[in-house]
Amino acid sequence: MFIRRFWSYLVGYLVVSVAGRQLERFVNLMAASGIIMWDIKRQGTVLTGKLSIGDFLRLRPIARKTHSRVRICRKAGFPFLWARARRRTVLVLGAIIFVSGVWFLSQFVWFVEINGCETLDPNVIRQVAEELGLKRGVFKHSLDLDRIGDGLALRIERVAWAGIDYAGTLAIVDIIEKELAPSPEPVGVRIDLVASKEGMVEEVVVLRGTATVRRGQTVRAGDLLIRGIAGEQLPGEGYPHVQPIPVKARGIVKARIWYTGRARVPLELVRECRTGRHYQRLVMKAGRQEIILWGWRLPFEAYDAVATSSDLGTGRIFGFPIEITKIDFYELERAVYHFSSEEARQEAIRIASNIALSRVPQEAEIILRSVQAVTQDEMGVEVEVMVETLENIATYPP
Amino acid sequence: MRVSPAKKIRTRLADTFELPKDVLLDLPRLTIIGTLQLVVENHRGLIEYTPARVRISLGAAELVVTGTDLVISSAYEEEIMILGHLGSVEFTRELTGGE
Repeated sequence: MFIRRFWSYLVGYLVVSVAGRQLERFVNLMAASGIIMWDIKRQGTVLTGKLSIGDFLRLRPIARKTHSRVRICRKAGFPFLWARARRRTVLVLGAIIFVSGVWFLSQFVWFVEINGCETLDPNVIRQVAEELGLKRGVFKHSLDLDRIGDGLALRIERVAWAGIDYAGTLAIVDIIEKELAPSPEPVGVRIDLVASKEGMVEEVVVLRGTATVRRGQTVRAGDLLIRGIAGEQLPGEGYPHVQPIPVKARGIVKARIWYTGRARVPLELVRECRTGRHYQRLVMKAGRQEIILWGWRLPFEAYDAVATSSDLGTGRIFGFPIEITKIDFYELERAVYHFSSEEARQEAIRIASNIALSRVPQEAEIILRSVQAVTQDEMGVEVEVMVETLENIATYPP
Repeated sequence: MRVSPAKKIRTRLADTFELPKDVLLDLPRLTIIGTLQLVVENHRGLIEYTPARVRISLGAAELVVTGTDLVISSAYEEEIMILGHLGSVEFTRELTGGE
């Protein structure tokens, strides 16, 4: 189907109309004599269809037989187009110049895009690429993309691989960055592990180095825990033939750490509370003058006052501000709370525990929580709470 | 209807060897693709053509195709192709090849 269409376009075809009363017979006669007409449509007594130039000449006897009139509506296809083009040389020339101009311009790199930069600055890569020849206005075929890609990877240390591709006039540079390996530990340097805080050593696990503390020993912050020396000869053990070497000590030293929190709760607590009654006053301030507009008589003895001011935009309009202040008064009353000594003690323990726990680091394992001391007098209860944790206190000195 | 002995043998042959009947019995072969396209092979000519109705002679019977915007895509002596929106395809008589 498509091939036939394409072929007929190539050799040219005619769109003809046939007017007559025996159009069906016309079609049958055409088919019988091997004339191929396609896309036959009918509008009333007129048939239109397409056929080749050669077949058109063989249509005459059929037209005569069926008393039809055949007329050429349109000449289509490449030969006719070509004939018209030859008459309009300048137009064709212009079209050719335009197309070849576009093609010519598309042979240059006009844009350079750099993808894949995560930590590197794309401008650095752009600059190096320019030095290697990949820049705006350069002829595409004069570049060796593989060489430029390799050059980028060689010149910029952080680039593991660089690939360049064209998408029209856009050159896309894809960068794969090197994953930086963590800096290796220094060899032959002694690094000790010391205590980060005060505590009692519970467990010592040495992965590298020599332990200098034992279980049950109390240490202070900064005390040496694991010495950064391997192969050290200890009394009764070790390897006498091995020369001790300095290393970076590694290990875990778990210690018991204590945290305390102290809280005092009085037995009698006086507080002022809002009663819920509320009084409002409006004050107008003009310059230094203050005029109470509303709410002269304040009915409360004790109160909370909340003021909200607004100049109502008059500062901008009249040149000097007139300020309206709204004051909300909330009546207060004194309330006295009495606690039993047990209630006060519970409350004090709760507060003291929270204080102590707030000092415990997240990763610490809490192994004990106890109330250390309770002192009570007629005024209140004071409590001290202790929290005991197990933590790894081994750190490298700063 | 009188059936000639030759036709009878051919029908038998076609049945026995499962041969295509259009070849042996000189029957039309219709190919319909959706309601878009109709191809009639082994036809006997166009009787009527309007955009709404196409009648094609099949020898003993007539094929009546109705629809809208019917176009004769191609017309050969052996094959006729109709494009458009097909509505109905109807035979005016039975066609068994036995007549």
